[in-house]
Amino acid sequence: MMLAAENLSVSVRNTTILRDVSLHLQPGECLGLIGPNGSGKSTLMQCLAGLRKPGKGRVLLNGHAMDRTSSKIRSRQLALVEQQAETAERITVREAVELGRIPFLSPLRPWRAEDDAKVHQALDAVDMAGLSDRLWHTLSGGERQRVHIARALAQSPEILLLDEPTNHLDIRHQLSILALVRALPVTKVIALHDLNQALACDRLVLLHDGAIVASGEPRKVLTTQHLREVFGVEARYLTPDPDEPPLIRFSCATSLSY
Amino acid sequence: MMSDVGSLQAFRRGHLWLWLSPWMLLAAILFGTAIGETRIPLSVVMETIANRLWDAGYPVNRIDEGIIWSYRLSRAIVAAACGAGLALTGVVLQALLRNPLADPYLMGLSAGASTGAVVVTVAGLGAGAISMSLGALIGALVAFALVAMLAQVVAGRADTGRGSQAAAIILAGIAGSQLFNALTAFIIARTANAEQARGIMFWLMGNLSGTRWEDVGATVLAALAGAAVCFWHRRSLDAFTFGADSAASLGIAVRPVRGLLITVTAVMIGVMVSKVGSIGFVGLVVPHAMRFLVGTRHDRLVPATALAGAIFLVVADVLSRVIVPGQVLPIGVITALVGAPAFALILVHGRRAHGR
Repeated sequence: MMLAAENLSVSVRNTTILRDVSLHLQPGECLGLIGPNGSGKSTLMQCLAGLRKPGKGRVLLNGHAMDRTSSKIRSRQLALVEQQAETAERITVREAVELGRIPFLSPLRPWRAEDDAKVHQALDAVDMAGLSDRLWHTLSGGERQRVHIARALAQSPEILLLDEPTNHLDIRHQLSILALVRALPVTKVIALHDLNQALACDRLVLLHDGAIVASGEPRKVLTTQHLREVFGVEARYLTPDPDEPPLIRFSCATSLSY
Repeated sequence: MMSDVGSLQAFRRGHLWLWLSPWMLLAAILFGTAIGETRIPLSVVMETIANRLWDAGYPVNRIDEGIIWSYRLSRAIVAAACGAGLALTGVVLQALLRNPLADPYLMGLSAGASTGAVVVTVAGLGAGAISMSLGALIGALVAFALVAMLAQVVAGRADTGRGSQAAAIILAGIAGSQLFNALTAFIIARTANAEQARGIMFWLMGNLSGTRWEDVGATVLAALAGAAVCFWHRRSLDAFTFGADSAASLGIAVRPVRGLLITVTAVMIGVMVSKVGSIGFVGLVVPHAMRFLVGTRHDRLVPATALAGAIFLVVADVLSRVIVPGQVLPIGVITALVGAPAFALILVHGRRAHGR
């Protein structure tokens, strides 16, 4: 077990956002977090990233309590890709990725050749090496998200947390970012909105009203019953091509009448 | 789009600036000492400094020596220290608030510091136990807390686009400045006599004419210590590029680091304002000019900005003394004449960058 949440509860002003959430991340897996808006995905992600202290329960990183782990050590094991992080600075792609080496630098530990190598590697991994001198504000949304992923990779993390990384992207970029993420040789936790895309994860955790409703193999989590109860939609599995993964087709639930 | 050649040129230009600027600062201080109502040849300036520092024994006119040593040199050094400090506060505020318009003057921090200084000197609060600088420091911190809180509320109410966030700081800064300026005026009206009031008003607009060697120690120390802390935390300042959460996930202990840097900023503003009054726009103009020259990385931006700020204020001080013959303008007038157009430029440029 590398990253684990034990009985996490978070409330803000008498509203419970997470209740008694526990999960254990397996090395090498791609774990998908799904749930409707307001189900607590982002809050859980923030707790896992160590950015938020849960009211109850604890997060363990390699067996150590997260709130007792120094932020420096944490940042060498765990990297976060946010939904949409922006800047107004005139910063180049390479400079943005170089930020990912900050966990390894100190006021007295200068930039070294190995840092350059890591930055190169990260840029190559997201296929952005050719654009490394481009300025941030000239990039498309998909390119920016690739840079964020490269920055996270430059942290050489064991675990990558991605909070809805494909939000606001067009379908082509959504698919290419997800394919890219899936191929990365690290352990991943990814919050996703698109349930068909979530089917491609190794394991899913379904959140509803701040609690885990189901977890396990995607097909066993995304049952028609769960989809009806949690998302309020009717769903049908389609297998147009037996060699390819199935598709879920959604329609409005009968209970939502106009 | 920037080509490889373009960024290489920028890199060289940045390096050149970092090598040249210390010499330019030295030259600016020497010229600042030579130029004034009575023009003194540079050779005499050098000889006087040599006499004072190493007992060189050059024959120098006593009056010239007095003007150079007790009046102009100390003034130029204080100007350099204040310029460096004020420019650095701009760098820190812009990085931490991720706002290109953040500046101690526009955010009302200088106004807060002025109120603090006036409360201590004129109203006599603290009964001599706290110095004017400490009063100004507390004033700057109070102003920061107030303006930052107000800006957050304003930005929270409005839609949270980056443009509106930048505007929120300015709006909150206007409210803060007005409030603190009114408080200052009120305190002066209530407690100061006419003579005192005139002096304070002149000082408030930013004025270097009263500076002596006693002021050199505090201002130079504040500027050097501030620069050292900023440089030590250069990577933390970089880490805030994509926001506080991103900085935290890059291993920065956000709260303590932010607290320390804001405190250092307040100390610099407090010391500078208590010595020379509130001089505007240095924290806005200089960091932006330096970003163009050396880039956005703080390992180069911090030293480049400190040096450029120092040069800028020494030159501005010279201009304030020679631009109208026989009269000394408040230095704030000169910095505002340069700063206000620059402010407008940043405003327009920012709108274009976000309005795609």
